[in-house]
Amino acid sequence: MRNSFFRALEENAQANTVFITGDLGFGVIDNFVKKFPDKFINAGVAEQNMIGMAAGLALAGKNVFAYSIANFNTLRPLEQIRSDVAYHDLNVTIVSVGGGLAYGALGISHHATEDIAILRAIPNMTVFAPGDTAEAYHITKKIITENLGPVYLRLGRSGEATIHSEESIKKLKPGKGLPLIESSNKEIALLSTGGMLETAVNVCTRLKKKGIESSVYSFHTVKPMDVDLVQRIFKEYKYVASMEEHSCIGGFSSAILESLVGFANIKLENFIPFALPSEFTSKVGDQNYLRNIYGISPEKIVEKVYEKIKS
Amino acid sequence: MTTKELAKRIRIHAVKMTSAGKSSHVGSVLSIADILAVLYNDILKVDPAKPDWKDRDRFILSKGHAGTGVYAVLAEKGFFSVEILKTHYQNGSLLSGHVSHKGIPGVELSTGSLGHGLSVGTGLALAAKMDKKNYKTYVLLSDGECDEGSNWEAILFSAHHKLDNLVAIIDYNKIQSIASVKETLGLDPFADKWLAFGWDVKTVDGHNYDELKNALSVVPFKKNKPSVIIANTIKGKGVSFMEHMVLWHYRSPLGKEFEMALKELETQ
Repeated sequence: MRNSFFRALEENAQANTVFITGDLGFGVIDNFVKKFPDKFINAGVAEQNMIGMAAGLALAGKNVFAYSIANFNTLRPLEQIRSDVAYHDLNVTIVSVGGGLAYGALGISHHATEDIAILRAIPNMTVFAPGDTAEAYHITKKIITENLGPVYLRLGRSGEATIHSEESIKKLKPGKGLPLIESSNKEIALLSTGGMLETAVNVCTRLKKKGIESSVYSFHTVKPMDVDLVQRIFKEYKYVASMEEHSCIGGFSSAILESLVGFANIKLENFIPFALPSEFTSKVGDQNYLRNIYGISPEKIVEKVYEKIKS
Repeated sequence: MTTKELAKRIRIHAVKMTSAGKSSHVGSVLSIADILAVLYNDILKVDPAKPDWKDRDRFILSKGHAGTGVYAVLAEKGFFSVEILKTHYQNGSLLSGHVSHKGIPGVELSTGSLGHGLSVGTGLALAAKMDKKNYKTYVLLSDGECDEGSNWEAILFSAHHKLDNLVAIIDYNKIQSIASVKETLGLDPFADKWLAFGWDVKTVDGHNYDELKNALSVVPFKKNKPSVIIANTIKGKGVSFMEHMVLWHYRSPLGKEFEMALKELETQ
């Protein structure tokens, strides 16, 4: 995803594009820097100034991408994001790599597990969490060419799969959920955000082997939520499962539930949210290891979904 | 209008607005009234008829709690009607206690939480360099605000990037919110700190129009370096019973105190 972001930046940079890093991106920013030395700034390890400065650049007409590892360019300069960037409704995109548990064994400082909740609570912010490399590329392209800021762009790290076909990605629209697999029956819909898309597809395949048809929808935009799609899914499907690598508080599942307020005739007892518990892990381990511990690996999800449907 | 007359009007507006609104920070506004008057009367290239003019100089009040001063000077310079000042701090008004840009022509940045303005100013100055534009960016900070680490990030960055189109002005009245700077977090040797960080410094009397104008007219003080003016000021300047008093950081001038303050300012 990180590489797709940079590729999109390199291929689509406009006259007003500026990329700032908080002294991170060793080895991955080289092409961009080489191609656009005048559009690149290393702000140093000084994230509050980086975001304030991004606001200043945007006030002067720039479309700014402020890049770091999640937490460093979100929680540290949160007030600059809120009061300088968002209140002034500026073209600044906070680009965070390592969303969720991507930096697994590096420890708690690098686990970005409350970012969606916090960033989406800020007025004027759009929150994107692309599900694969194709979504990351196309969302970045749209931010660059359509000046969509203020934006929070939550990326994975590297090595994520490309799930979409060239055909399916063409339907991507900011603010709209993207159907990836639509089953013939309406037994269960799997709603995924961010890097959980590969898991959702994996779960779909495994459920099929167990005789359960499922659909997969990618919600690359968590704010604004595609309320119409969420309501339609809850109306049409018997079961709905959501998947996110984020705290169970305030993230994707919360946004789904908010979308259902005032909507009649839904069966919340058949909603199965998969998210992280609100706790700091005491275990060291890589992303997949931690996902498994917290019940968001394909195996654990299939087990729970199967149990629910068959109960 | 002379700079002296403009400063006097800013002070009178500040006293009236903080009295009618029962709002705080009158001492903080009186401290910077002369700096604002010199900036808007003699230095800034701005046009009230075209507040969004792309080549205008940018002014940011980083100590947003003194926002009534900015509202007052903008109204007096014709950015909007002086009548609007009467709505300050009232329900339904556009003029909040801390300066806000929403619906107010001429306000470059909403502030209120300290330590934001210099970074945003750094971004504006950097953009001017990128776009080869000649406008300058002026950021007015309080002394207490220099406690904020974010400022020192911006100070490092702007020196490293040779932003000689950036000017910081420190309202050095030596009084913070509940005690003196010296008792809170001492800043001295203040000028030396800026020098050590790669800025060039001038220290002036922040109530002397000639000193302020002279310093602001020779920016950048040194090519390739950002400039800082340490303006020695008096908190509450112009109203004898408010001068040097920490009390008037929060207290609103009401009743007899309001009348006395107004009388004193009107006869200056």
